[in-house]
Amino acid sequence: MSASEATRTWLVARAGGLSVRLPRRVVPVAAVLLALLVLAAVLSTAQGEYRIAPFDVVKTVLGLDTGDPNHALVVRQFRLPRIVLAALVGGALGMSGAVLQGMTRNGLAEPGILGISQGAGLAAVAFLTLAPSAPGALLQWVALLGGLFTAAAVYLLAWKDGASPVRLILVGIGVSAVATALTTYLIVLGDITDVQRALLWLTGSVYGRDWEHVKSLAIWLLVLAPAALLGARALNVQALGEQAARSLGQRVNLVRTWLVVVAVALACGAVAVAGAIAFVGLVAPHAARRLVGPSHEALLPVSALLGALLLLVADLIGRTVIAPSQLPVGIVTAVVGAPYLIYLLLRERRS
Amino acid sequence: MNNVALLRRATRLLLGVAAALAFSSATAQAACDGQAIEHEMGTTCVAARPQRIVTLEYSYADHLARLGITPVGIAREANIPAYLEPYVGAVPGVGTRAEPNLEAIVALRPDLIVADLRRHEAIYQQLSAIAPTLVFDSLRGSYEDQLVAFEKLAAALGLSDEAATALEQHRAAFEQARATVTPKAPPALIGVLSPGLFTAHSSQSFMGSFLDSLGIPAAVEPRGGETQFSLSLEGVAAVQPQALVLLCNPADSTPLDEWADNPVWNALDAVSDGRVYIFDRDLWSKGRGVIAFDLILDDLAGSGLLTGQPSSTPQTCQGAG
Amino acid sequence: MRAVAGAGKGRPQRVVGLACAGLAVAFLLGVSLGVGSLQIPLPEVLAGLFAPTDRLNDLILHTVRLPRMVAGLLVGASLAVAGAIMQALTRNPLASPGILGVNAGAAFAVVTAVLVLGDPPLATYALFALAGAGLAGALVYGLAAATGAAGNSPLRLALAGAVLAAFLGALTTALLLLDQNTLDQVRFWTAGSLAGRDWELLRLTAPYMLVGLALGLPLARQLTTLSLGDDVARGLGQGSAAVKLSAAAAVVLLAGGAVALAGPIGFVGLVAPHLARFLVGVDYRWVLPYSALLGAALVTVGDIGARVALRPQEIPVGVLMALLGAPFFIYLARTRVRR
Repeated sequence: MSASEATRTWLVARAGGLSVRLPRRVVPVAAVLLALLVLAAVLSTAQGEYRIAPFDVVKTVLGLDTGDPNHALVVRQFRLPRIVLAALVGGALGMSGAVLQGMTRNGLAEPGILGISQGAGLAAVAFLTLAPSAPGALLQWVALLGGLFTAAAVYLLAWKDGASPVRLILVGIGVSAVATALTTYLIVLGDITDVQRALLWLTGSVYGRDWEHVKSLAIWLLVLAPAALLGARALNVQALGEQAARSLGQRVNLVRTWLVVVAVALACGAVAVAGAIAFVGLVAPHAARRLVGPSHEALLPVSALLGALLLLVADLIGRTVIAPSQLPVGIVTAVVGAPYLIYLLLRERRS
Repeated sequence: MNNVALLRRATRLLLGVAAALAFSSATAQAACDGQAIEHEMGTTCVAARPQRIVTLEYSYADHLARLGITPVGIAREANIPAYLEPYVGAVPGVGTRAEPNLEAIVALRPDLIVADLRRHEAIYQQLSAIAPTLVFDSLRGSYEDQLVAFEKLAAALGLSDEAATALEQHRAAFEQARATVTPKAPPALIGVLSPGLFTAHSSQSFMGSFLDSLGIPAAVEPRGGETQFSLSLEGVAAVQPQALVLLCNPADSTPLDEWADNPVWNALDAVSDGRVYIFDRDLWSKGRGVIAFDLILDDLAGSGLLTGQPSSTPQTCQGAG
Repeated sequence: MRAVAGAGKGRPQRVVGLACAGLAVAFLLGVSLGVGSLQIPLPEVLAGLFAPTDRLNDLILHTVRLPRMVAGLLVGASLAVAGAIMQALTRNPLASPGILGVNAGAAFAVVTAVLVLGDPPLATYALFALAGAGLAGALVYGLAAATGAAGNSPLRLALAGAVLAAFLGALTTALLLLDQNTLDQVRFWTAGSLAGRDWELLRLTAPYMLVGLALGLPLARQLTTLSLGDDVARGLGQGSAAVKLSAAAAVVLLAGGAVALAGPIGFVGLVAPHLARFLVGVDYRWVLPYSALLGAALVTVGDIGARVALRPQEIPVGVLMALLGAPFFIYLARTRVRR
């Protein structure tokens, strides 16, 4: 690659001792995605059972009085928190998936394979069916602990002179199977109404979430997203393979532990507030790789944007398609995401 | 409002201060000039004589119907219990009971919402922001809990006198039914038949407690902390019940369809003695309102269960509706 | 990669071993007949078996426990043989109907059928299950091939299977959520259980498994060659597409039939062949029958446990199998997978 080509395809930013190299494409791609995200958010804000004229929606969002006090209630307390939360959850899952796929060098890795979704699911279902009288506000903390605990168990079980990605994935599959079996057991024996609540959680939903949920996830992400981005360069080195990484002086096990902790924490935060939403963490990084290539400085933010967009659109669909009843967003992502993933894989195969 | 102020407000919103705005309207602490009603989530002030009521469980729609009131919206699935159809069949739905649509509720401009503790605890704040919201334990509550909810709901509507009359009538009917129970009536194994599953109920479940307070004890105790649990045909045989109370929906295909041809089933004492009493599951389990209770008593009166007679109910689920 | 502990043993030992395993299975089946919500002592079981009366115990023996026992025997043997064939075909120690998503595919197909068709005739369950098993197997293989670039083959297949199983699981949950009646109808079934399986259901599903066994067992010699690698197979003039195709067909028949009868039961197809190879080495003429017997024994033991653990309530046997099998899977992942 000649020097002039390099400046055409790479964007280099330097600040002090740090320098970040980004593929040039990332700027227009991110801009377009951001615009789409805003567009989806606006469309979603204007959409709902309670009819509000588009201009009134804009006025309400800006905090202006429209003459109908219900507008403020519906837009600011029902629609906006749900939309913002959907975007945050999707972003967290997308970024977590990108980190895991990069670290394991496997395109099928996703937050679910480390047992996060299944562990959180088991904890949540146990909570719902065994302690149906306990305060519901505890649910997200129980799920969070379940996810973190399971991921830690997977990591420890897979550790043998280091954290091999292959063993991580396989042990994750085994531990997930145990969690799934126990969840199934609880679902089979539970009371049907508890079971329904549990299934709703297992599918993943952003129904009825308020600003409190948004706030707690936002704080979580403010810490973790930069932590993930700091790992981008390490991920690029990991992509060269373990031998190469070692010869470049990387402390492979330390870096992997760091990356797993970040990815797990990102996914657990999302799962705790919205349930076990499938496929966003798998599909978003794939689509991102097609858009901006394999460099993780670009891949991580673009995966997050794509995940956010995907979940936002999925929730919009779920909210409107069988109104006034609603589909949990997890159903929509599974139905839309899986065929898309197969399509992506087939295209990758051909090219 | 000038442009600077507008810009400042927009910026504040972008900074996420919107979070602080949330629920500011929900926490109005004015003195109550209507009825202050105590319920599962605290005490709520309900304006005098609310007119537009939204119910999020079938039992509340039942309670209201008994008081002669039609709600403006109900949370419902595609099929509602058949006995409620004449009362609320035409009332607009506001989504499912599990996830009612908040905006659809706002659009109805209610002045009272009645919700369930288990299902709607997580959205209580949002519901309260729409209208005063009362929460009772309908899903897991006992027979007595449902009657207390009925009284409180009536008090909120300023209909306590009407409620007292209705309750008096119901209690009289209940006592009348209880008086017909003879010592000859054996304990009954209560089973809810769903497709593929026989769920046995102890006297701790809602249906078990209803029959128990009438004087028909349940044939099984709670097991492993569960008030109700599934049994196979062999498990049923191991209980060797003297009487079987079965609840099912006519539309379902249940284990009974297969068991009816099975020699083991026919060798059960309850079956060979003709003491299998089959009733409508929706009415017995989904309603949980005063009208439903009266209808259950009607069901029981002619069945033979209370008087220790052989069953005079239909012997298939298809006839139970 | 494979255990060769039994490779040196001679034919007589293996025959004796097979006979012992057969006796052990027969003993377990006897225990299985005596155990349940109602305790029936062994002498009474034997008497009731050969000279039935009209008493409740004998009726239970013949209409409830015998079909259940036969179902456990068939399901265990089928899943184990299916797993053994898959491990040979893919030369992958982690291959099995559960891990590769074949069970999940069959289960999803049945749930979809129940949801869409309302209450399809029992006879058609098996057909849906077979179609689902076949599609899922093909899809997993395709997915694994399509994500080829990095990682080794056992990992790719297992991961593709896990992803497909997760996806089908999500879809199944979603379908169940939309319709409480279907949820009621299939939630016990999706856990994998032998409870309430009667002669009628056996009559409808057993033929698929028997044909699968008849198709799979004679392939033993070719499977041994295949399991040693494509190069060896080609060198010996075998490994033709025909062998692979009939082996795949046998897997679909075995796994699909087993799922149609008992719901998805995982890990039997993984554990039994490994135990078999540990005992008799790599020769599939021995591995297949040993797998069948060990699989039958595993499921029977699991089903006895399922009935006695929380009597008279029953734990789905699929749950017990996962609790027993997953640690074994993790052990394999730690010891047999390099890097």
